[in-house]
Amino acid sequence: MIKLENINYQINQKLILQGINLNIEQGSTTVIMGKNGSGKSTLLKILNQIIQPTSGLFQSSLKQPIPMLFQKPLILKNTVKYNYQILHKIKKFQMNTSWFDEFKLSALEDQKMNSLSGGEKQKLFLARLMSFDQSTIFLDEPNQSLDLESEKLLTSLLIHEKKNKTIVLTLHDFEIAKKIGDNFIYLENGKILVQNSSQQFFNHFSS
Amino acid sequence: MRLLKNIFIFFVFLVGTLEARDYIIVQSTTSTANTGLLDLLSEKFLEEKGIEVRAVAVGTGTAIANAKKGDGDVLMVHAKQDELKFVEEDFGVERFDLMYNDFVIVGPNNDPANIKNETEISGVMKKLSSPSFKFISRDDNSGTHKKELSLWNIIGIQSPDHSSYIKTGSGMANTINVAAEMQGYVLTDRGTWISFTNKNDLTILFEGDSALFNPYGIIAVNPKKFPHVEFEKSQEFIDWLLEGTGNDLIKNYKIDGQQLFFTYN
Amino acid sequence: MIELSKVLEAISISLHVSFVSTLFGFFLSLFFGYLIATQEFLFKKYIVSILGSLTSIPPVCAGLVVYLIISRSGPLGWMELLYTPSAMIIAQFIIIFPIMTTLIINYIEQEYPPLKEELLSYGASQRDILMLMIINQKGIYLTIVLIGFGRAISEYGAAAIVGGSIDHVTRNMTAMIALETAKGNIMIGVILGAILISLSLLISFGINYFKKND
Repeated sequence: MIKLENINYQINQKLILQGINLNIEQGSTTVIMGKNGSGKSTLLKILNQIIQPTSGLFQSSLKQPIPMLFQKPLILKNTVKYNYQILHKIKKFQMNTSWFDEFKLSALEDQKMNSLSGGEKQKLFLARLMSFDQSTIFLDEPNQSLDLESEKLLTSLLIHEKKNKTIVLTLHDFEIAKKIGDNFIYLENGKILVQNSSQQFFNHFSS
Repeated sequence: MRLLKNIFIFFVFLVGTLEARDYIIVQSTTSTANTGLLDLLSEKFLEEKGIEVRAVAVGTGTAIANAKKGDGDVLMVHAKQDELKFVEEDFGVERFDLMYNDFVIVGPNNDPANIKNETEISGVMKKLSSPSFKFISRDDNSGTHKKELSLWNIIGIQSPDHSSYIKTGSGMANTINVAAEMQGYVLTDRGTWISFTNKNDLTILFEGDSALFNPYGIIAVNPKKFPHVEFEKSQEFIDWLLEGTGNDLIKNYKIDGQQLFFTYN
Repeated sequence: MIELSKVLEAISISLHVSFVSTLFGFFLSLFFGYLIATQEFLFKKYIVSILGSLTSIPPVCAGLVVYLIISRSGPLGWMELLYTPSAMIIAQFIIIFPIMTTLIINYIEQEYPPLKEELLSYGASQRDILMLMIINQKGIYLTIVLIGFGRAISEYGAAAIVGGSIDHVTRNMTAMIALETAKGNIMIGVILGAILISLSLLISFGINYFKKND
């Protein structure tokens, strides 16, 4: 589906990503992990063609960028309902409200965005993205700001989704990664330290 | 797109205000404006003749310079030499005597230079040229300033050259204020002085000498040199001031019961 | 001393002239500000620097520049703009345009990148992005308008030089303050000044209100 060969990304004389070799297969769930600043978000954006690599070979079966969950998603100064629906005015798409309902967001529909807690906002962002019902999903730290219960809900929803979708996401949490991931990548200073598809990946970190 | 639309609107707006100019521009001095006379004359002329007068009050030097650039239809200042030159150089058609008053020398109540008792201007200027007394000059190329220089000329100097001779480079009001602050002497036209409400403890200490005569002239800008000027309307205005209602208005203009400007008929 | 009608006239001239100059200033600064902030082009750094330094142009300088252009002996003399309210509008526009544009550039440079990335992924066009920015950030644009208006209505020098401070026509509040002070009527100057300051206060409160309630 998406193939990266020796990808580099440099900006302002700083090398953010170096020598990345990666294959995203259709229907798989790939988890990108690593410390803050290791280049996870950048790699995700390159996969979704939001930014262009400075060198290397990039191939994707997607013709253009698709809606994704950013680390700092777009907030518009208005109600929850407005923020949920506005992007559908830009990209006309059938609306799938299952995540909206699962997260029980209708109770917050008419509230202003700035009155929401971090966790409530994050649930809205997730529901908003998933309302586009895409077959490929990019998520940057989807569980940030979520409380334990919401995190569990998120995990079960993702497990349900991954059955017939391609998912690429960044995470800090190993537990969640174990539950939903098929392939795992660990980034350090822009380079892939470990890449694997099973228990071996986690063995690397248990020492 | 948007840029073009905005530029278009901008110019439509400008053009919209461009319909034939139906007012005359009078380049005049601050001494006439500050008395309120110019505003009154403009209003009454519009009422009677239906012609709008836009009177711009700047220093005499500036008024003349503006008129020479074609930025006026009528020149109304009080610097006879320069006015005659203006006509000589074909910028103006003809100079008419409009009105007159006089200049007065104003100073602190206690008159440290003792000019009160002088009978002639030369005696006064000699005393005031001394560094022991402060003299405040407008130094701004105005009619008043030009008159002041002519007075120093009488005692043979260009102007005093010491630190008690203070140049404000500004209008009459500011210059009088500085004189009050520094307890100095200043030359001012009587019209401004009468209408000036911030006299502090300054008072008129010398007046009446023929050298202090202050004549105002009025000149129509030459349409041969500047085809765009409103010559007919300017002539009407000048006639109205010399022989019509304007003349009466000037004569009858009083502040605190005192007449500010005198006419020739 | 002075009739109320004259004072009201001066206030209305100030409001009219400054309102129009602010309107033009806002739309043009929005257009150019957006262009400059979101595009890369040759000399971009220099243009932004020049704009920044023009924000502190002394009003008399702006007035002088406009005067030289619209004077009969200048290139646009044939438009007969000198001593008209239109000339005052142009002069004030020149003063406030750099400030408003610089503010908008700074704001958009902050807000645009995160917006751009996300909206790009949804396939939004430049127009879509600009529309969203305008509609959803009303507060900041209102602030910029108020700042421009405040600067325009309280300036003395620019409008005075090209307007000529003509009774009933181009004598706005600041020109009247100058005139009355020159006549020695300090009190009128103080009163008019107080009115101007009250207006500025109102504008200040307005700015804070919109900032909070955004």
